[in-house]
Amino acid sequence: MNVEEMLRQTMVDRADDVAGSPTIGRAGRAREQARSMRRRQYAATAVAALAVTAAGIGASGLLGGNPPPEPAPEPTRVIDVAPSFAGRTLITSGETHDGEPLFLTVDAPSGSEWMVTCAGLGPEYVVHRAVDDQFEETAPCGPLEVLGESMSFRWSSAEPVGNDVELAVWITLGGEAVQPEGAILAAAVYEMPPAVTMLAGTDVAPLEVSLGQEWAYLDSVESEPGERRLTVTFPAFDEEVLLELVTDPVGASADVELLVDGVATASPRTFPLGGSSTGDRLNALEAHTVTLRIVGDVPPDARLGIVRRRLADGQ
Amino acid sequence: MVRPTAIHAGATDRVAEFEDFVASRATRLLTTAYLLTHDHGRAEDLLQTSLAKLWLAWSRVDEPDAYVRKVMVTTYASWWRRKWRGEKPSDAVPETSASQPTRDPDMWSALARLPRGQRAVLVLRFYEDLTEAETARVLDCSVGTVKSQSAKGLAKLRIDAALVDEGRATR
Repeated sequence: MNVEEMLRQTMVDRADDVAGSPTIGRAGRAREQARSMRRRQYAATAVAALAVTAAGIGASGLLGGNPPPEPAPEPTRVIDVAPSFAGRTLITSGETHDGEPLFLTVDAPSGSEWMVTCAGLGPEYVVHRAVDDQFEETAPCGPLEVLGESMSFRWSSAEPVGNDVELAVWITLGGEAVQPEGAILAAAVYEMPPAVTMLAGTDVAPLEVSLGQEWAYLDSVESEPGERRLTVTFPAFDEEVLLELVTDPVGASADVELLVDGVATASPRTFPLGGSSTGDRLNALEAHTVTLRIVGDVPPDARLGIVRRRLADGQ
Repeated sequence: MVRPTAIHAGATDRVAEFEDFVASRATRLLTTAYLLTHDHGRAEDLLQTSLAKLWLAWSRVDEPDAYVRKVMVTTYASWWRRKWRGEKPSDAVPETSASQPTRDPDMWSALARLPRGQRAVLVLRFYEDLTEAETARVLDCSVGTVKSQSAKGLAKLRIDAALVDEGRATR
């Protein structure tokens, strides 16, 4: 059997895995989700419009005093930027339209989270991010985005405070810088709350968000430097547990894979060593053996960490 | 009062059309999502998000099948790019080893090791049976890109250790 035939056969066989999934109610749920997405867009638009209107009223003198100079009209923002979430507090944010490059100059405190998004374009467009002309990273753009989906990163508490740090975000197509109509670039910087601990070179925050819910730190474990794998058997816990996976060092050419009870379950199956991932869950009332392992060459300073989280109070 | 009634009837028709489309296509689309993500819960989430985006555009979409495929692949790509702090938009719990299919795990795992762009091309070409031109339209790329991504993906499968060790991928 050649590889094409094997591939076809495997896909056909695997189709059975989801063959019995119910379709009843799926269209209704999709329409409800669509309404939520639309409400979120409208809310962001309305808030921005309100701010512009208020500025206009002030400028017109209706609130008393001499009319101040006419403010330059601000474009309505499309990407929703929350003033705070999960203990983070917004420091600043910016948004440009029609592909205009975005620049944010920030006094970056130690322990901050930087979120970037490129929306309104197909994945053939590439968004670039650089910090003080360094650490350039790229990602494909997307059609409907929320802040941080394209990329986000943290300025850890171990790093020095950076004054006047410039974040630059721009778009390319086929390697050439472009400013496509309809493109939206957005970025926001949040101050993180004090870390609970540091694991594998990563600040572990008291709260993380997954599927709109806040999850509080429960406990954590870390590998010895240079170990290929970290395996932990967690006893049964009375609540569902969220896993946060953290790894070090950044820039190594290796991937990390998660196994739960011996089975690779994470999707994406692997993520780059140096990155982190939040979202895998463990069933309540069951013991689980969790393994985080490096696929590829293991740097001598490699470290792996697993954080367990439980739903925060009030969630 | 004719106008509101007419509008309401139109909206009802659109809902019915959408319901029919989902009923007839959801299983196939879910399979495509599963082949892309290799995870049932994540596939459910990918399909649901894609259908929501389809509904937002329903009144102006001529080919819903092609549109939703495009949204699905693009959304899938946007998940992939979250290299840092990637929140998984799935509430699925890990499957146990007992529920893991045992059919051809080597090809399945080899497919999972492909870069996402190549995997998307192979799923569209070899499961959805799209032509190279149709695949190019879904992915918003050239036919040449589809050809090269498909060739690279197949070449990687041929040399994947899991398949080579067993001497199964013959060409």
